[in-house]
Amino acid sequence: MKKLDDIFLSRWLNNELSEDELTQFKASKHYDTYVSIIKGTDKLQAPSYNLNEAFLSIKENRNTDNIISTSTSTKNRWQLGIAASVILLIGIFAYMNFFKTTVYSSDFGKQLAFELPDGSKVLLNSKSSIEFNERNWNKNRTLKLQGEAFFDVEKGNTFTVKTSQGAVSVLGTEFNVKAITDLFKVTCYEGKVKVKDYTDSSVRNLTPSSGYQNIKNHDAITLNFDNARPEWMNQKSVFKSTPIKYVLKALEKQYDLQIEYQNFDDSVLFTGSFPNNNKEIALKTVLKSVNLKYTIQGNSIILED
Amino acid sequence: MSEQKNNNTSICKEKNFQAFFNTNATLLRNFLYYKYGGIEDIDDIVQDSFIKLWNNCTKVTLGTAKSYLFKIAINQSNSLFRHNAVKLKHQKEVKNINNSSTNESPEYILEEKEFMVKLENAISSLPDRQREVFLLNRIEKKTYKEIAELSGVSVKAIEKLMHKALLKLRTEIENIP
Repeated sequence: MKKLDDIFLSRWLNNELSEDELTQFKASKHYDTYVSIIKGTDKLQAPSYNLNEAFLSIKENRNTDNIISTSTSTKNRWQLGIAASVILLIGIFAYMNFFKTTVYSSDFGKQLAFELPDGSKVLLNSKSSIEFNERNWNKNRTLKLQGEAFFDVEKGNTFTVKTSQGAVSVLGTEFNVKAITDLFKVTCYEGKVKVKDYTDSSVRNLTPSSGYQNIKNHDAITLNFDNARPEWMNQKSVFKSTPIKYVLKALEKQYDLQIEYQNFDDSVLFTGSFPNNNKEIALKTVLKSVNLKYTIQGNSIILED
Repeated sequence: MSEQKNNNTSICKEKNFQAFFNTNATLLRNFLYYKYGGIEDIDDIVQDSFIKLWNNCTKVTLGTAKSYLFKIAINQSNSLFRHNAVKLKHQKEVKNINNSSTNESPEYILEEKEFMVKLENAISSLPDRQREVFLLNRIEKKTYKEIAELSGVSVKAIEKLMHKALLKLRTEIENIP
């Protein structure tokens, strides 16, 4: 047997080890520790960063630089600079404290549960994020959502979920919101939910076990269902009359895949479900149902014509 | 005075600059953070670097802006500080909210907690370059090639650093009782 080379751990992470090498590596007593290290590191993330806040701060600082450099009196420049900096600093601090937002986000195939400052509960589906202002929360219960989440809202003043496609507001209830590119879907499980769709400015009231779905270039539909919780909370993704394009997107999000295809009509409607915890079965269920053959290459799935 | 070019891709335009900022700021910030630690200092450096880039926007194109930005930031960081602790957030994950407490015994959870502490300490004690490469790959999901381009070295060098980082983490963790 050949000795493993001096970069085999890098190659292992990239799935580049040959079968023999892999067998040899798995037999070593350190293998389990390496697996734990990778699994553990995958749970870590950098401190959150607010892009909008950082950009505004850059804009302000830059503009001040320009004001100073265009001031004509060279004598006053120095004092003016200090004065400007002080004012600016006070401004930035006030601004940062006031508008500081909290962001929660989940990675491919992971779900994330957390509580808002008023005790309302949120469960984020995979590859989704939520942003809100913690300091001001009890006065203004508004948050921004990208992706999909389930909300169990404590009673109080109006609770609003804003997405790029529509806004959902309630007083205290349980509901699910899904907002990805061109797709907006809201389902109500308890209480009353008000949905405002930005695309046609329509407003609808949902009662328990009813929902609303609007997909670009398709008629908006009303949904009726009898499950007590969104299916994704039971490790299932369910679709009703949804163009297959969005189903493929959901597969990509759930299993960190890239699905590639060329001559295939991705507006075919799909009604059905796939499991969120078994990649092979999920791929088979969706792709076989529309008679598609596919090959797997690492994280890429290539659909054949 | 140099005249500002009136073309649509110029990063002097606020819209273009903001788009450039949005695609690159998080990566630059985490790249520096993984290497040096000390989040407040890093955020200042990221801000200064972007301001410098904007003020010099006539000298760079959209294509060269990224490497220019990283160069400014790396120069500033090198002269400013040495090594603060790198603290990472530990996300709580739920596999299934309906029976989230069934499979995992308290012993298992405790063991996992202890392991995470060991792991975080071991990551902190890695040499700067190894930590930078390891975390860019694992947390930012950057390929070896992308990391190599960021710091201007060969892919082979990144593979070696990555291998060494894992080896060091493993020995650190196994040697702590």
